[in-house]
Amino acid sequence: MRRPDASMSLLADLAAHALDEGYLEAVRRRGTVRAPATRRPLSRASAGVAALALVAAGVLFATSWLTTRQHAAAVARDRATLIRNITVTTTSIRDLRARADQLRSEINTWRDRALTTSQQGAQLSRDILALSASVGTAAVTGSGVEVVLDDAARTGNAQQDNLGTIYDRDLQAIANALFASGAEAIAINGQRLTALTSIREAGSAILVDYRPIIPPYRVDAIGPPDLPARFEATQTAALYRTWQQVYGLRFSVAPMSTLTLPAAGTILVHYAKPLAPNSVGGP
Amino acid sequence: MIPAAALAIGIVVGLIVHPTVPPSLQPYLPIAVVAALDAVFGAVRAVLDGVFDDRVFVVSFIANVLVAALIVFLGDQLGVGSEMSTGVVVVLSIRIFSNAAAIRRHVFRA
Repeated sequence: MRRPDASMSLLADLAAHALDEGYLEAVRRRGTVRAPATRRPLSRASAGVAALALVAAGVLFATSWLTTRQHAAAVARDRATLIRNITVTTTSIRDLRARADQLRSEINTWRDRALTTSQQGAQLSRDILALSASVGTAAVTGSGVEVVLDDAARTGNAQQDNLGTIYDRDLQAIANALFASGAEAIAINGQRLTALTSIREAGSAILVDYRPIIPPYRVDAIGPPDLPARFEATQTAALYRTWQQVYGLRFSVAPMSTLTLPAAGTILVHYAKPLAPNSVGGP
Repeated sequence: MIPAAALAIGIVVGLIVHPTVPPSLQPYLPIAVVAALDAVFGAVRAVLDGVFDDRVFVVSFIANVLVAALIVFLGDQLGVGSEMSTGVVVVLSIRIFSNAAAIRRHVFRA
């Protein structure tokens, strides 16, 4: 007769024969079952063998426990080392940036000094000063507008959270709208934008000039006195006002009487080349 | 009393001596531990059932540990090592649970 649970006999067998078959066979050989929990005095030798096996089991358990703990400790150690490396490298990057800024300002000083020796040089110096504000090589200060963006409060609903999140393209749109409204210099969270600065997303972080920035996003722009009004009149500003109401993301525009924007961190010269050494001091 | 003392002595010895397991044997350690646990629980149940036999215990303990490790070793060679260890752990765990249930019935009569 076929048992109804024949197809599951593996699990049934496992549960039914949980006790090692060997014990029952030994009983069959001996022909006696002792009353439960009574103790037949084991012979001294066999008790010793059983005790030895138990000692071996104990060693096995202890070894396994220690090995597992050691492994966890090694993982924690590796993690701590990585964190330390990140901290050290971040510090050294910051130091190198500060050094680069310092060297840049030294170069500017020497350049200005060299240019003041001639009439032509003085004119060039004035041109450089005028251009450096729009190129982004010099820190600028003036009146303007501050636009602050931030993600909506998390709801736990992934789709709704997505709609309430500020992405790289939002910052691009705001920056473009500000430039279109007449902004002369823009910085996002203190990172000055140049004509070649990228605003992009890597993972869930927004990178401006390849440096990660964290919310709230503060877009500072310096421009003509009517910049705040012109920006508010743009379609982009109207769009974000709507999204602020619909999705709950933060969008605020405030005119600022004094803003100071730093010089851009990375300036790459693509076309200019140093003069050959023998022509230094040139024409 | 003596078995519990022997187990405790074993654990203390293991903690003090702290044998290092060669890396090549480390994958088999968890399997050996589960097999040993199974043998110990089986022995406790056998004692309570009144069918304990020291020879069966010793032989089943050593054989289970070695066979479990061997099965996983074979699986490793054939490319199904982790699946084999999962299988061995599942089967032995079911046995441990059944034996623990039998022990519970003996101890609490419920």
